[in-house]
Amino acid sequence: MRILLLILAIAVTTTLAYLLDSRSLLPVPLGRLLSPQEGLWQNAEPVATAPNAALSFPSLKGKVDVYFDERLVPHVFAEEEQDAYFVQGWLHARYRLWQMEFQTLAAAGRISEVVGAKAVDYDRNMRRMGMGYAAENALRMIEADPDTRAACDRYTAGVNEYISSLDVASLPIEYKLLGYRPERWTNLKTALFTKAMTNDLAGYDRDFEYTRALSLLGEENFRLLYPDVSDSLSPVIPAGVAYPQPLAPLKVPADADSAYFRRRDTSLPIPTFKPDPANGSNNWAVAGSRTASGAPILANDPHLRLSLPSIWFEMQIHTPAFNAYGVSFPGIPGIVIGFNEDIAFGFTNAGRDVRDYYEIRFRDDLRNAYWFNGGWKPAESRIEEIRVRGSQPVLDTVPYTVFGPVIYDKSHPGKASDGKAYALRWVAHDPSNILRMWYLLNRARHYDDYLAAIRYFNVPGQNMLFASRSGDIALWQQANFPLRWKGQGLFLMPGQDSSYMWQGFIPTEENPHVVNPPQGYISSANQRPADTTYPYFIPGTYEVYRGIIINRRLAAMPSVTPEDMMRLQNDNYNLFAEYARPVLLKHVQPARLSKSAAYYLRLLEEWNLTNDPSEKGATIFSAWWDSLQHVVYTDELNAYGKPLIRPDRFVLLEALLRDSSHRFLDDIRTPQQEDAAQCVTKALLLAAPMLDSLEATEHLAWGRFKNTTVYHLLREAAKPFARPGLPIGGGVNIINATTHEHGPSWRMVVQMSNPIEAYAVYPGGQDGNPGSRHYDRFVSDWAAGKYYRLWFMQKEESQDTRVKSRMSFKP
Amino acid sequence: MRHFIPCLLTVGLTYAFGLFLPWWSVALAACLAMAALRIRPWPSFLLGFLAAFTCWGGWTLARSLSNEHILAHRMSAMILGLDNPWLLIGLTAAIGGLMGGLGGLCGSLFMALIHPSTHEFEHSETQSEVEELTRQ
Repeated sequence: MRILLLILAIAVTTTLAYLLDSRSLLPVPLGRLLSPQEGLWQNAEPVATAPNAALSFPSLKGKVDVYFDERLVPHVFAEEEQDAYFVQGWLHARYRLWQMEFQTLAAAGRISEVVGAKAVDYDRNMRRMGMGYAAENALRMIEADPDTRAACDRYTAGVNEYISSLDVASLPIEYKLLGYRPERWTNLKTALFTKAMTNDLAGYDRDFEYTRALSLLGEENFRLLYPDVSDSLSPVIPAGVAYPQPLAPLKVPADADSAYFRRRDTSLPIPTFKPDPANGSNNWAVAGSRTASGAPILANDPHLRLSLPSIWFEMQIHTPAFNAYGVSFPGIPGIVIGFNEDIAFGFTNAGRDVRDYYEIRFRDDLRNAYWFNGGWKPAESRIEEIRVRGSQPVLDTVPYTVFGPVIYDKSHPGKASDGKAYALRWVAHDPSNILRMWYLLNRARHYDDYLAAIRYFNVPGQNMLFASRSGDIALWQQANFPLRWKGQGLFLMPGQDSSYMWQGFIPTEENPHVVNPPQGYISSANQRPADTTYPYFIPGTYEVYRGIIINRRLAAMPSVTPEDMMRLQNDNYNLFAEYARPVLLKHVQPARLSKSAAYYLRLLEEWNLTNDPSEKGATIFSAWWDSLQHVVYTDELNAYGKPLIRPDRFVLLEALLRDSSHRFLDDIRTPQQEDAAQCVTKALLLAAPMLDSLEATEHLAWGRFKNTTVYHLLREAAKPFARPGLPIGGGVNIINATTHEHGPSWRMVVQMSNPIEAYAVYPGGQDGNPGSRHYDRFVSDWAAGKYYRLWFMQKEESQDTRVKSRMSFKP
Repeated sequence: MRHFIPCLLTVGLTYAFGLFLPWWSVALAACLAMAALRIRPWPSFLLGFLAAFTCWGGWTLARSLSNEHILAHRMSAMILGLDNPWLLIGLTAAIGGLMGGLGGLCGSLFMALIHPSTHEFEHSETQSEVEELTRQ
């Protein structure tokens, strides 16, 4: 009897222990997770403590002092430059380890190792795109350069020292929740991070969508719906700048008209996992001639998907060679956006198309030879092994051609495919060392140094803004941009010979640029860089309205102060609505409106054209315009049983401004002829029920409707780690480009006076741990449009009261 | 007061084992404590539960208080679907308690099996306690 009791008791105890230690019954191992000794409570950081430590690492050459200020921004002072990268790696890992590993696993197509089979399609797409291949090519160049090699080696060593100090209890909480452990950091992961950024910023294209649209709609309709240049373009390079003519004209393939422009192909794959085309930014610089202080001011706010932990980590790095302050990317060494004692630098996305696709004809299903220049050329194979948590690995053989990896074929068809094969030509695959640009920028002193630095940057295309304490402002749009004959690369290209290949790159010195323009300011906001006098064909994904309003505001501003620049970054004025509202009001037929639609019409008429959180007019405008696009285009775009990409927002507006008998206004499904008045009225009537339900739940005010949310990187799986419902205005086409989950990921204003006066904020916090008070510390201030005065600490200020804690690193 | 000693031993062993053993060592701690002190089965469960509950609960409470419940708010919403730090702290204590109680029971039953007479000391003490109470 007693022995039975004992056996029973032991059985119950071990079963319970097993269940609470595994994911077999509960989604998380609750016992392990809640254990005060090793579980999540270990991540509950005492609010009152600040990081203080004296650490010793034999690989250091000298002493490094790290001073943390009240916002947990580390100010790193290193006796030896290389040690600074070691400490930066250590600090990134200390505060952002999970994020930097997760983001590089995602870039490499290795997420299935962590979350299981549901990520296999995502991983496969990354492998097929050649992300690993691109990173390996970059790594060879990074490691061939002694400076960047040393920086990466020391950075990697710092990350790994931190990783090896971790035990079960001190692991970041995401590892505990998902149940895995960090692996060693490598220089390859740093290269992968740069490719992840490249994919976010230069991985968007519409080649398949355009080819399908051209095939179905015909050339004339295609040009009307997907025009290359907007009527109202306000280019980065002010109009009137003269461009040199290219030396030799490009050779257009002899069969371009028949085999390319008149190609009809509708059974194409539908690309998935595309990056967000809204990834963009604002930046501008105002020359001393227009500022109150007489010193140039540089402002930059990069628009990215907002996330917690933030993509940015703020810090200062002081070495004998340079002293730079700004934000860094956890994953790479150096300061990415910021300033040093002499210059300030910032970036916006160029949005230029640097990806094309070529149709490949394989000899047979083995896919090891393809037809090229009149013969069978062997294809190299790269075998991708996707390890999947909880099941068998997935193997994928990816053929590589002279163009690049075969992204779609019979075995990886996207959503729908005819089984043809397409190779991807992407500048991101080309060997390059973009880290060298930041290495040089961090220590640049003059315009010439900046110019020498940016030459190393081949992709993603960026508008690289510069301002110096010596009074210069400049902007270069920089990358290796392919030379294209007119129309080249908008559509899929034949790949059976070299005639459709890129014929080189636009010479770097002919990239659009402007230095100390007479108007006294420079701005860029992802618009087309130059007007049509620029002698190259430069397709891309361009914004139209932010650039116009920024230039209008800057032109009207006398004696600019940093406060003006902060206000401008938070400007919620809706220029698109300024142009579009008169069109709506002109055509709407009030007599045909329902009672509630008439109410919304009145609210829209009274609206101040500003997307402030409290404005109902902003929501009505947005809903009405979306509805109008739906009314006008859906019949044509859905007529073919294949989804067609919706035209850019400016297209319909400019069509209606030019001509109220725009041909797409007619609903081709009805016998009668619809006109602008009918479409505009119908659009409001269709939008009204949605607006009614918003009004009924008090969600009609723009801020409530938009519901700006900063999600954790694990999104729905970690919703309590998010910051939802932020009271912030702005939106698409607005300087404050904050949408539901996208927007200014870092706002910075730097006045290059003596001393430098800098302000910044980002929607996150320095510590990636959701159990730290620094996790989302800046989010509310960011939403409120507040900034922090940055402390560009000097060496002799180590006893300053702004130092809240310190760490020392010694050999 | 005499119940204090097995509890204290359980808490001490829980901490010590936790330094090198996984979280379930709380059961082992109670098991050894109850076996060593030869506690009878039912009291051993109650005392093990009480000790581990207090240990895990108190420890968690201290950490969460110094954290101003920042993490407990987020994690209770994630794990329980309810933003209530106290529920999560309670759940933590309960899991610790249950493991401690069961571990204690195992230890006690094991000792009872190999030394059938060992509970007499405890038995007589309990009896004398009862007698004491009835006398008053």
